[in-house]
Amino acid sequence: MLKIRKFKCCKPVVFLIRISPMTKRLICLDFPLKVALVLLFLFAPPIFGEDELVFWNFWDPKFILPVIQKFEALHPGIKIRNEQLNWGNGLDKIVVAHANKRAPDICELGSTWTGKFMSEGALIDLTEKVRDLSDKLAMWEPATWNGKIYGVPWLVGTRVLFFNKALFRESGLSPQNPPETWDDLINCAQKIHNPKNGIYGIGINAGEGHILYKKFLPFVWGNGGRILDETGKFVFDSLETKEALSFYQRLMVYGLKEKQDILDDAFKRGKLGMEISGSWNFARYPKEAPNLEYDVALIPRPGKNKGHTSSFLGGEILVLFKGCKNPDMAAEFLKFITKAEYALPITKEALVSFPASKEAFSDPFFSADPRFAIFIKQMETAVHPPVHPLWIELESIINDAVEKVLYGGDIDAGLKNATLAYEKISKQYQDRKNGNAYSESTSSGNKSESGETLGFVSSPLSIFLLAAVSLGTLFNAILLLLIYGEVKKNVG
Amino acid sequence: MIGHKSGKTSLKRKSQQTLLFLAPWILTFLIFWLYPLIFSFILSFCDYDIFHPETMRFSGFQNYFRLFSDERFVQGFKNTVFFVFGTTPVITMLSLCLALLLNNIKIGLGFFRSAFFLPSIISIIVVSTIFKFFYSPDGSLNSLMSFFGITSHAWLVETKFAMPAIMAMNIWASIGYYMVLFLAALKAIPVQLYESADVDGAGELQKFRYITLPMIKPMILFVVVINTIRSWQVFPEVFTLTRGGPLGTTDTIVHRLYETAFRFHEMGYSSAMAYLLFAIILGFSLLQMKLLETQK
Repeated sequence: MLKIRKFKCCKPVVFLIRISPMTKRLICLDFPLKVALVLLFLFAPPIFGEDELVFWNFWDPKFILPVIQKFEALHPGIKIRNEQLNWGNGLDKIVVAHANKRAPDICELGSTWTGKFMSEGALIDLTEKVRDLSDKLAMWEPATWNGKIYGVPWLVGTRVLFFNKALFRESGLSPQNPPETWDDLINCAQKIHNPKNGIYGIGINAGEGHILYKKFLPFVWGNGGRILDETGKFVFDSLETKEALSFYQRLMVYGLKEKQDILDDAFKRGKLGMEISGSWNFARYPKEAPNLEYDVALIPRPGKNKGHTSSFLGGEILVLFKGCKNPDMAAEFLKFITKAEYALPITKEALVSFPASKEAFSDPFFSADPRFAIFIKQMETAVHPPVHPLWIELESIINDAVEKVLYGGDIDAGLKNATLAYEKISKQYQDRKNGNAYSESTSSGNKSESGETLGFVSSPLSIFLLAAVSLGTLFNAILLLLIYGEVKKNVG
Repeated sequence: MIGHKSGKTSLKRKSQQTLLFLAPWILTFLIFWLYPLIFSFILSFCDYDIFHPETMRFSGFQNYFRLFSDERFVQGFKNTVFFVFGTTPVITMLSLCLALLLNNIKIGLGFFRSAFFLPSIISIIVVSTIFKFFYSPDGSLNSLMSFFGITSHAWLVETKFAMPAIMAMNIWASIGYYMVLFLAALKAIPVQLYESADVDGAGELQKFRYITLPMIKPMILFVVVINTIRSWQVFPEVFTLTRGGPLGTTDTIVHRLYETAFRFHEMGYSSAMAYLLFAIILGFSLLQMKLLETQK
């Protein structure tokens, strides 16, 4: 049926090339029908491929397609379609698709996104299906919500301290003894720092979103601080955070404030003594800077007898959206693709993150370079940020608070504002959940940094200001008009 | 009588055929332009979180009032105004100067024209990526500056310099496009005008003031208005270079809109931003029409 319709609606196109009187009549006679068919054709694609499982992920298809082929060979009758997303707008695409009930069957989610999707009830409960995997894979926290498992960890990644051995030697430091405590770190950065010669002690992330908090939070966690406590209360405004922030302020003096890729680049050219970065550098540095002498170390802890080393843990979770056509087979596929043998090729080539599968670490690839051992050791103490429905907003609040301090803001005020901002967004979230519309007293998160409550009191002033600016704009344009008129008159 | 009737039906047929040929465009227009346009207008009066479509409520002008009390948005608005009034006059002036220079060149016009035009055909994302490294601490700009003994800066990271750096890039990238427009206008001026001015003994400055300027006035107007509209919508530069940082000093209206809609999923509120921007741009477009009308 569908085939015939498709053919019919293509007909005009075929005939339009050499229009005969008969076709002319045809076109005119059933014109409304034709329009309907064209419309049907436009919306037809989703109807096809009913039994195909759609898999959205962020990787080069060359890693994914072979795995799909093997899976399809093992399970005749199952078809999986691979579609690649990009990190720039992948989340938007997933959110919009979900809102329109067009979400893919199988999807890769960044581990900081899962909180939102799990709490919204968008994902299929996999607790029973993946029970046997619990010992084999790492990083289950971001796949777990209210005691139930909604995803399978695929890849995990963490960050460690990179240091330049040559610069350590030149500054009279021993490359065999990388900094272990916060004071050591400041000391090393201070000794290496020589901006006159273009050499900087340590890289401090700035000037871009989403990155700074990943580099700063390990110091809070290592110091025993937290963002949320067991009851979900916001406890970021704590002594531990303040200590970490003031340490960061002292460290920053000997640092280069830049974006991650520029820091990685500066380190590559031997201009940066230390930086906190990820394993992706292992893929670049040997090729682009074969003479660079560098090593990695655990992220320093607060003191010799205080706190512990910690880092940021993140990665990729594979989930099934509700509406998945074949949850049993899709879950089989998740188990299949997360196996060490299929996750390893991605690690070996892209080196962005490691397999979540614990078996993978016995692969000779990891024992070939002792630096990988540091990563694996760091992963044991690395912390995944809270799995929370409002994590995206929380992340922005924390990032803003740290950035403020980085640019010379007051620590106490910054943390107080962060708490206020969190209270606002959580109230708004509760309101929405209870079915109330947005109320004026709650405004969306990550703003109102000055701490004053913005409501009707200050809005007339703002309205006045904005109106003044708009009027000014208009006034300028009119002035422009007058000037032209004047020129014209003079010419005339 | 019969002939008249058949003429009418053939006319009807003709219009039907026309409609069929136009259908692809009309359909895309309706589905991908008009429908979102109207829907987002309705949304701008609603509280709508894309994750909770069922909680969509009509909230009147609340979204619009909220804009004025939203510090981040107000900051973004101010930054955008700064951007518009910082770039538009400079771009207009510089591209006009370049066009005037090129207009007098006999040899190598094609080469210079292409050279200046090139940046405007490169994707702005590519341009931004190049400039990211150009502005980096030991990038070309700082090497150049240190050659003249000026201290180096982290252009995109320091709050004072981030926005001007983006503006400079925007000026560089769009100057060529407007230059070509001006060049076309200059080439269209009849040579006779200049010849008779020469006969009357007019100087170069007078010729510029009384012949060139009035003749290219419509083009100046066009460039100013188009450029103003484009500047209000500045986004890809900010998105690739700074994401609104440091401390929100490079946040613009469209970037805020994007963040609100696609990071925090508040579609209603971001639609209100979009319609405020729409109103501003509409104002400028109306002004342009008015100006062009007085021309005739």
